[in-house]
Amino acid sequence: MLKLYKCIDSGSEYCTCSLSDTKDCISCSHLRGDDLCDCTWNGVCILYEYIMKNGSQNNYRRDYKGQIVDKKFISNELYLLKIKLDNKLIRKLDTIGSYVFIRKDCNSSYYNTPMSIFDLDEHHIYIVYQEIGPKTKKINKGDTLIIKGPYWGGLIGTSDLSKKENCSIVIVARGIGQSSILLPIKKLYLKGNNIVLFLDQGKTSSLYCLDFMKGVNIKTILIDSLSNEGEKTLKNYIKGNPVDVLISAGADMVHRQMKTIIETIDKSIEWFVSNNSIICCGEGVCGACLKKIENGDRIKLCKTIIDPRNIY
Amino acid sequence: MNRIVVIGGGWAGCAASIAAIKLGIEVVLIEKTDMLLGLGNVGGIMRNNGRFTAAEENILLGRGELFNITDKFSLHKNIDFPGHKHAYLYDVTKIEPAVRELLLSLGVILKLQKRAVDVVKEDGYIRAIILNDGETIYGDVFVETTGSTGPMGNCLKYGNGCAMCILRCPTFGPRVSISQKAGVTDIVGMKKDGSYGAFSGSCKLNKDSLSNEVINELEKEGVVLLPVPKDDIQRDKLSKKVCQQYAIDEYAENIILLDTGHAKMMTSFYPLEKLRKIKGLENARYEDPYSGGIGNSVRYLSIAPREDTMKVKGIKNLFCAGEKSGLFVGHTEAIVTGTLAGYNSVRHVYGKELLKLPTDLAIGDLISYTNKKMNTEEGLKDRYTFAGSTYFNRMLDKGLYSTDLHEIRNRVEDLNLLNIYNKIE
Repeated sequence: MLKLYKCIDSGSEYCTCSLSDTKDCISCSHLRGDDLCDCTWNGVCILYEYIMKNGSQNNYRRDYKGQIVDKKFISNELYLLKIKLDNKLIRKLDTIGSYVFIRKDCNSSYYNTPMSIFDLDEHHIYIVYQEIGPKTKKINKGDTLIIKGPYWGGLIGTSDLSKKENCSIVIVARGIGQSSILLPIKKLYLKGNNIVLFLDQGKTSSLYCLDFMKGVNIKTILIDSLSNEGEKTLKNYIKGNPVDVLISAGADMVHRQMKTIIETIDKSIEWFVSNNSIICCGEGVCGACLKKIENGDRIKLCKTIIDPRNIY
Repeated sequence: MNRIVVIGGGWAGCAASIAAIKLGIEVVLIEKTDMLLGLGNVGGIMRNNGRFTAAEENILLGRGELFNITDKFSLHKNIDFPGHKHAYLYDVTKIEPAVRELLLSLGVILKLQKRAVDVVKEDGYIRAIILNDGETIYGDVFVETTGSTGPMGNCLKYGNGCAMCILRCPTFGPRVSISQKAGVTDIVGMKKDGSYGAFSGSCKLNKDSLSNEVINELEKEGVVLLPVPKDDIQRDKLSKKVCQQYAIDEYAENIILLDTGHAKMMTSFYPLEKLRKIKGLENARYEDPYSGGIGNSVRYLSIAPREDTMKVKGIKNLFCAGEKSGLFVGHTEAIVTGTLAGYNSVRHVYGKELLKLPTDLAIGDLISYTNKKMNTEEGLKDRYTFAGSTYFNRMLDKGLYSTDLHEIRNRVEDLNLLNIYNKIE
């Protein structure tokens, strides 16, 4: 039988979800059809939540309407969107790893595309994206969007990153990976963590995240992370300094490179990666994000909490 | 240095730790909550009926430390209540720090608030235990004393839901069956009607919430019987509880309170409104479980198949004790099985033949009898304790029950087992 894993939605208002109705829950053995408990979730019991709701699922994530109030060209195919949005949803998105699905209101749900929250303020969210496919082309200033959320699995890792205090944290961001690191940097900085950012413009030819870091005083080192020299710089830093947490944000090759570095230098480093899976529904239903890991389990990466070492 | 890892810090785990460390082995004890003793923090009944014999046997076998503590912290000694004689009631509000101090003074490495969630297995051996925070604890031999109670999903499915008991699953996380993680399927106990599990058999009322008359009598006598209004007597509830030694008519017709620091009430649960109709309990409130008016924890959902040496079948270096090792009820049962498991874990380390206690002793007989009975469906619906019901009747029939210290000593001596727990010959 598939092992039980923790789920990013456990303990939230979105647990239990539709997976429990079909006995496909990620975390609860009962809601996977077993007779007895076998979970590792610390918190109010998932089966309990299910029974208390009398099996009725009325807590689906809903569609909000948002409006693009600004669209800025950054470089190449890279754009920044400023979207006016209901404050209730913004508050739920104000956390590390949050993302939403967006589409133009005139489009069908086929066009739902997951977008990391780059930044937010009281009435707006900011998204940086590449205009490269049918889901992202033709999004323009003034457009009304259908925004579904909140989703929280944008960063993969086993512990709660938002609880890290006074830790030494290294963040490696390359290219479009910059889109998912600003919120973590801001939150972690406020908790007294010592953050060092290794920044690589990658194919985007832009270090756009730096423009949004006012008031955040962290050490930033510019590198070409995939070059020998860049890798050496990183390795030397990790070897010569205490590092509790490493966050890598970029393409899969960046993650694989970080895994090699961690495993050769210090296996105890807690590692988080940007979630690069193809995500279509975000609810563990569609199967687009399934990844088969070494022990044979197929993991739904939109929701499962797992050590990225198992994936890369 | 050789190391024994004990998983679960209840009475059984504490007893196993002491038994092992006394023989000079390093012991790591993993406990998921912030307190040792588990359900021992809300129990308190010792030495009633056959438990007296078993306690004395364990002391003569060489391990009396925990019984010395329960004796020392007894609020009442040699009291009788329906179906039970010469009970000692220890003070549940004082006992845990004393046991913790003992374990620390012996050098046991305590890992509190650490939950064992998985194993590293190789060639039929467990090599290490994985904790919830990712730490890996390596060892030579492992003793599982994680009990069989809960977690919440089980209490919900087979009981009346989480009643917020001392195990505090929402805070510290669910119990994980280590033997099952190592590939050995758990045995599951049943109620008389064939459904899984059984309710814990007693709950505790906050003593200060009782009337002065009840408090005074309780503290003077140790026991108070309050008649249940006729309309509220429910005999059928008796079959659903763990403690079959308390499943006799007196327990349906009366509220029986024992002074264990709290007022221990000898029923699984009792609706608060009905409880407050009883004279003296007009303002009563529950101390454990907090929702004792609704339900209680559900037990016997995770028992490892084992040898009479307490070694788990199918894994070369895993032992078990307490409720994990059978449909046992009580602290004494946990301590005596824990002691044997801890002792045999050391013998295993040194490659010595494992000790199987003879059935001429109550302890050996309980361990062996329960093991046999658990292979039958009827046996899975029964509970086994020195204190009453099926097994105490067997003790009486076999002449194993005795309160005569000389007689018990002679038995142990004749079997050449005096102080055996202090020797690895």
